[in-house]
Amino acid sequence: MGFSLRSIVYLLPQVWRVLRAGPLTVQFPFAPPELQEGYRGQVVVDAARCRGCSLCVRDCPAFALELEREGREEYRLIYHPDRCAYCGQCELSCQFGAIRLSNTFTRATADRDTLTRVLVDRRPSPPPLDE
Amino acid sequence: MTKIIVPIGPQHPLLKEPVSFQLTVEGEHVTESAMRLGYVHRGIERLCQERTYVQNIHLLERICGICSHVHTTTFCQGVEALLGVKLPSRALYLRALLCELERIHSHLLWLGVLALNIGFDTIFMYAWHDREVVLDIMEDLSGGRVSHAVNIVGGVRFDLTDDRRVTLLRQLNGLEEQVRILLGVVEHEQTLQARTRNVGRLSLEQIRRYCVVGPVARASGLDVDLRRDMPRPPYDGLTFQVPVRQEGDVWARTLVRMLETVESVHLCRQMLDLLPPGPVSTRVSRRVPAGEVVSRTEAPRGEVVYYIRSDGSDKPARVKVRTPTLTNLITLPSQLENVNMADVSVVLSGVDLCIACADR
Amino acid sequence: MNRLLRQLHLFEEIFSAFQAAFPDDPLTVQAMPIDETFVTLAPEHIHEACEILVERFDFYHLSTITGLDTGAAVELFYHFWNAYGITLRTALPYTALRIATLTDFIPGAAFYERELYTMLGVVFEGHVNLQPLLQPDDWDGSHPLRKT
Repeated sequence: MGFSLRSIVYLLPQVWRVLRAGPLTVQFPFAPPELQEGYRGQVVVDAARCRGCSLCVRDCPAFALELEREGREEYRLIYHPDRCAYCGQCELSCQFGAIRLSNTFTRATADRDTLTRVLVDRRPSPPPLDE
Repeated sequence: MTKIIVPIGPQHPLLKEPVSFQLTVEGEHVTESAMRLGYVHRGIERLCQERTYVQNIHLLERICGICSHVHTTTFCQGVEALLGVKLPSRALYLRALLCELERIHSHLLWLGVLALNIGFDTIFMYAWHDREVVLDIMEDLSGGRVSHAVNIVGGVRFDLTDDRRVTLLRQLNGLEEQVRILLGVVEHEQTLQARTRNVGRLSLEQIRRYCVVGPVARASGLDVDLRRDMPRPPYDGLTFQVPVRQEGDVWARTLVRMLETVESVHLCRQMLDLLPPGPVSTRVSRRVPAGEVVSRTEAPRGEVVYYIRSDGSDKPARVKVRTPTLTNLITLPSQLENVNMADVSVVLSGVDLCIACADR
Repeated sequence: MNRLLRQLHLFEEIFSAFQAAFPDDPLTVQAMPIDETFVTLAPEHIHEACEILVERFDFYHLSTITGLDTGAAVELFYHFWNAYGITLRTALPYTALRIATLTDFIPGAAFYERELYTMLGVVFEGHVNLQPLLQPDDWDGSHPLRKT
């Protein structure tokens, strides 16, 4: 009996601590999530710095980046968030500081193709709209 | 008496991961058990041969969702030995710091799972509440709660500012207080003792013959810890105890894990105090010279072994991963023998199953 | 430094014990990084060598068995540990992919041998339950880690 009394006494301050702490959850997606500054989220690119060297494409472990090359200076860098593992390897591999991971979320979607984004577009002329 | 075969798994509310047990039950007691693995086999060892060393770090991180960092640490340690590079000591300290944080996180998570399985929901909630502190620290340091992606061949990717170090020390003090309360519960709580004492007992002889590792081995009196027995920096310069118990039951495992958690908090604090200045990484070549290496580290669940063979290209010729759970799973048939059906869940959670680790 | 000397001394003893037990085997020893030593043996001596390691030198812990297809043969590595690592390595030709099991005195080897049986097709003679470990129930009998 003495032992079980002891365990109750042990845990009483815990009840007070938890009550005082209040709710710890965030109403995501109805409220913005609390993300740390260094959180690895969406991949963003400073297009002006990109040289199309494809080092990020080579090192991506999830094959989430794709480089469509049409000429020496003409290419498109395409990003597939549905495959992305958010590991940040592209940020590390980039020699020009062009690519980095921001602390924003990718929202869930029912159709994975809608997520695909073109990060850098260096084709000579954009294709006509009616195509 | 009629024999009934009770299937547990591959999909079962008791299990967090798919594995299948077939228990032959007579009355209330288990007389025989059979196990089937492989439901989450992803062929990672084969995949490693197709990818470069850089990509493999992120692939190997995904073997386990709990001890992800220690897998990349073991892999990087092996590849660095093949390359013959010497890491800056700040990198080694930061790497080990995250290893210890991960150990705290893993043991608290496990305590919660055990408490949930014995119906002690209060401790489940408290343990996971305190685990959240560690997860927040790790997310702040590395940018990810579970997949930290901080290890690179040649160092780590994050650094600590002096301000952050001070706040981290303060967070660790609060954490230790909480862990000590949970330790007190494990030591004194009667319901927890009633459910876990004398359940799933393994003798020292069995432990040695089954080659069991980690807290399960230490709870049966096998005094082994790779951090102490194969001292590598920074552990060779730190002081810590390796808790060992003789009982060999689930309660002893619980106690060993909680004592280890306290030791890990101490280790974190020592590492933060001794953190040497300097760079956190060195540049290394992408091609690894031909050779082979066996790399071992102490994960939260025990010894992790990697065998890496390089043929001189930028892709490994073979990566063999031996996770601690695979050795501990093999003891389950002898632990389950003559166990009351109600205690099966206690035995299963007692060995700290990580099926994704075992299946790879 | 003390540790290194102890290691050297221990491995000299182990090596001479192996030489006495297998006089006709051209043993080779390699020091590897991270406190590891590799000893190469003929496949028929592996079982006895493991027994010597376990019984006489107390290398009770078999960490794992690694299998590896080099394209010319299947190599097996028996990683033992007791404060230092020692690995016994051997090569099996494709024509005779069989070796004696260790499960008679190390029951912990059962899973490693079952895994190698499916991954590389090595038959462990004397294993009481040589069933696939990770393969699905409708496994077609092919070996995923084989090169041919």
